[in-house]
Amino acid sequence: MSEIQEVPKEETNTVTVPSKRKQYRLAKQEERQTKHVKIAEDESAESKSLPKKRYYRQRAHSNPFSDHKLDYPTSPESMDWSKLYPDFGNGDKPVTIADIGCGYGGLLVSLAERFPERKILGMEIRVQVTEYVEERIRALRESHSEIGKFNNCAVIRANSMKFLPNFFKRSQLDKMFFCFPDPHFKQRKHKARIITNTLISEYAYVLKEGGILYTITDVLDLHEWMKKHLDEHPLFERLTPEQEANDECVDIMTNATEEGKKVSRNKGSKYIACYTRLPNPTI
Amino acid sequence: MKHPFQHVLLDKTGDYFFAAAINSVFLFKFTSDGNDAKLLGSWTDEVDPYYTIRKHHRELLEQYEEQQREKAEKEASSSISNEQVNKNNKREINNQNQIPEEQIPSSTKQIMNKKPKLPLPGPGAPPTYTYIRDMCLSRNNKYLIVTTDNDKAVVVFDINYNAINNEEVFKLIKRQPMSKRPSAVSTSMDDSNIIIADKFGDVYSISMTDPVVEDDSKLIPILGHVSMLTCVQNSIDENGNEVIMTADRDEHIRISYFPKSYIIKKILFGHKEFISCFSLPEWCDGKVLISAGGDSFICSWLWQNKDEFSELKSKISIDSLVKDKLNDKHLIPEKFQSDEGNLVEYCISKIIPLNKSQQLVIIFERIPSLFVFDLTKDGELSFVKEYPVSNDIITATSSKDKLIISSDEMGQCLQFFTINDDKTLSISSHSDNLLKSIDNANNAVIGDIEELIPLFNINYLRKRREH
Repeated sequence: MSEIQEVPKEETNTVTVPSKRKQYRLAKQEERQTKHVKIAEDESAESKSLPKKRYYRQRAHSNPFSDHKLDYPTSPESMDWSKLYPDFGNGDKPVTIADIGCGYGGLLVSLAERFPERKILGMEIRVQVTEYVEERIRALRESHSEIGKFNNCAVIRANSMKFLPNFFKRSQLDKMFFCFPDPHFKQRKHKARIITNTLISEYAYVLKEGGILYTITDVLDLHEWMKKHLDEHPLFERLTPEQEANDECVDIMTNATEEGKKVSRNKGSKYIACYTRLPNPTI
Repeated sequence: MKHPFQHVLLDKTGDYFFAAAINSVFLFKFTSDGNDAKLLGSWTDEVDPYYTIRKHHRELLEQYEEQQREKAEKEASSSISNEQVNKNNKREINNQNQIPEEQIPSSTKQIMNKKPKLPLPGPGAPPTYTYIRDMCLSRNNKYLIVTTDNDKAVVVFDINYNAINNEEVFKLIKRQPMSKRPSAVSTSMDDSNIIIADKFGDVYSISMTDPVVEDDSKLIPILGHVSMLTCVQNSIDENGNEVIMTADRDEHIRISYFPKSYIIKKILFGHKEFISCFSLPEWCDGKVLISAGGDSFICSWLWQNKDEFSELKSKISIDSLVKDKLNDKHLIPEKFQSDEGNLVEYCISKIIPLNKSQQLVIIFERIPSLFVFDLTKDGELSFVKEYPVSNDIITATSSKDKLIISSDEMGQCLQFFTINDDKTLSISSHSDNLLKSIDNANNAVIGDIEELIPLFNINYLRKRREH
């Protein structure tokens, strides 16, 4: 089953002429490649326009069980981070904040502004959405090149349900965000949800003690599901309502993500649950 | 024509031999002089071949009946809103008509206006198999655990080796159906629990001796990958704690504590393709783990090393061993084939430790040779010798000085090797005799080759990355 519609419908009949959307993406891609070659030269001449989201639309679901064409390191040790963060000063600093399923990157960008000293990684499974975020970060980096902003955030296409430990070592992460994940309403699809009791153990593995796992959704049923599984897991404990209210990341997560803004526009509710990683019990 | 054995298993003493052909398991005892084998008992799985379809149908039927009941109640309760209900029903019925009945998943709450029919497969449907997929003996040799294909069940037997009556040998403890097909089984170190890994990546632990069968939807996994699991094994780590090792199709070997399986101890990284099997040879005191699968190398791990990412002791290339043995059976599927049509691939289907000679036998899928490797206590692995056999090897087992291979050659489906004191292998002098006795007892008969169950399906685990 083709989960990712790389070829939009109107294109299938006329193979020779790519659709407007594809043309736009290809042009952007080319621009990026030529840009990499002459990285030191006339930077100011380059366009600083943000990519247009309408050319990168993709259906909201992706099958996490299928074998996508993915690039991932054999082990976290073999991961070359310098390509993702070429201009970030503290080269050796590991990524400590991960936005799992970052979508169009709203949270990623806000977090990058809020934590300029930390490396932040967005992970997204949909090809075109990832491309959009890449373009967005590139444009932001260019337009802020004098002050070096946004060099600390990056995005990769990844299936984090399968390959999270390929990127992050044990206890590497400080904060993990799960914002408006795919609700997978059907009961038989529940294993495809990003929060399950078995996956939480993996999140506990990459999160350090005291690290925080943030979840937000506009689907009450999913909220109850995530809460249930995280509550039941011995390595996580829910933050108190005060802690949640005072955590500035909660505020950013609620208001900065694309999905969050959309929910606000539609006057929907947002459900938040944040958990801290407890120390391992004695074996 | 006798069906070949898709699984063979020697117990620790090397005196008892389990063999599975299609849906039957046979237990043989070798005579003390070793030149004959006597059938002790057998068990044939008589599960309904349409178990899953019937179960699904039953669920639909229940749903239908409930809806009928509700409908009747509704109609009876209010006469004013009657029109409204009918309107609603009509619309839903109209929508419903566009979908053929069999395709409605049981979870959707659609209105069914017809009594659901039992959707038995038609003449063009792919074959359904009822066969024994996997077999595992408990560490104390007392229990045999088999997994079945059709109803995705784990069947546990208490084996009575000394039974006088043939029927009393396999004493059924329970048959536990699982929600997803089990792909590997093992037991906890004390044999109190059965560890079941499934096709969806979840691992369950169920009691070995408790005959109570749980509803499969109520079982909660103790850990899980988001990838098909291919091998599971419990072991003891450097601190004396029990751990559970799981290998998956996405190159990971994960080590979690047991029973606190929510704590991941470590993950072994190094494979580039699916892992099909791993082994913890006894003579290395459980310190060395050997793993292989779709890669062109075998990995040797000192998995107890304190420093993370230092566990991989060595990677032994196997490309040169098999390169000139690949043929049409190893061509990659047409869809992914090159224009020349000559792309081939191979994989390792089994690693069998030979405790007597402290060596490993490696079996490749559809390559008629045994490859013997030396393995030292500190994980040093080196190729020693190849033993060609006449046919492709399905599986093999070893204990004490015996090595038994099962091949897809019809008249000669088993071969008995003796592990000599000088570490060489030779065909046992009683091989023909033993084969005759065992073949006579095998009552799994098929009409022709078409009726073979899938014997070589490890390479299907290979990932074809498309999108």
